Amino acid sequence: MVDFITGPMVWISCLFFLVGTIYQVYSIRKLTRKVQKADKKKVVPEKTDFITKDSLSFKIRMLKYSFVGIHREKIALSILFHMLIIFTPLLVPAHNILLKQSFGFSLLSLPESLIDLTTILVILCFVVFLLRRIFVERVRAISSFSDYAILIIAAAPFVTGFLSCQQFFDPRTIYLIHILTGEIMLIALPLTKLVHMVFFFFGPLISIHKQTFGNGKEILRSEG
Amino acid sequence: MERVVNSKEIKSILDEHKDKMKLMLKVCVRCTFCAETCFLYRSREQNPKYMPSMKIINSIGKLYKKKGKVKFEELEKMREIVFHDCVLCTRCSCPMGINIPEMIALARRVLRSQGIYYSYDKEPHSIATSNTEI
Repeated sequence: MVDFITGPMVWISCLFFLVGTIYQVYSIRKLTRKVQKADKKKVVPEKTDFITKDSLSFKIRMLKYSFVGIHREKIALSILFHMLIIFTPLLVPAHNILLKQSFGFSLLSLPESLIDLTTILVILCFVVFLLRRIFVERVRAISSFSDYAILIIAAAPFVTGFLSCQQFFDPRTIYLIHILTGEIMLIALPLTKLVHMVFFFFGPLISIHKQTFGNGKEILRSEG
Repeated sequence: MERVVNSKEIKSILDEHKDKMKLMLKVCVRCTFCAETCFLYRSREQNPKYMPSMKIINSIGKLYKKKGKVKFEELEKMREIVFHDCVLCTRCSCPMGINIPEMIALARRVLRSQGIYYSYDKEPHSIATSNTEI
């Protein structure tokens, strides 16, 4: 069992993550194109219609009146959290040693003390998001079991990684749990809402809507 | 007498916009950032029922998931959501780019196809007194 978790399972989960994420990007692109085509067919402007289209600069100026302006601090925290959650695992010295052993190359490694700090920040962010989901009424109202589950799935590798690094409890067991939770997270990524890490970059750009950065326009009928 | 829902008709309307609904449900991460872009949410003691995401999940999201096979009572509940809790002012926005007003408009179309709508002339109290309902 241990050999499977530390051996083939690592490859299976990495492959699943890569193929699954590429498929999700492909599927959302395909879906958006279908939607765009359907919209083009549906809306045929008439001579009496007013066609309004906002310029990019106007959209940027209007951002402060949208959720961007309203939730400035939350968005800043969210960006910090997402940057840390993506880059921290890539810059861990231990991960890079394993990468070097397997593929003969490694990425930039940050000092252990800095990695500890970023990991603690990530874990704190997870705690804030979990508490927000439990105690903020509007977030709780819209949350389902899967929302709590994906938060725990994403947090688990960071918590166990930190415990493993600090040699808490039985280091060997914690190390195995760390690998297993990491693999679960990689497999869950393309299957759950965690895939929003990809959609976040694509959605607002390709979505055709007057308020997004997609090339949206609004047709105002003079009658009816 | 219990009113019968024409599920086939609902499904045919939903099928026309299947891709849009699929996209919407796929990209919504339930971040609730859309809440403050709704003036009804802001002006009515921040009641979660006025959140744009909540409105589309409980109306068109439910219709899509059930493939139109819903009970009349469920459609009645949706009527409250899409006609009463939303005025379709189109000011709401979503960080993921979901066109929320379009989804609400689609839900209204489905309900109208079943003869369910708001008679604003006969039910004026519903809008006028909604502040006190909360």
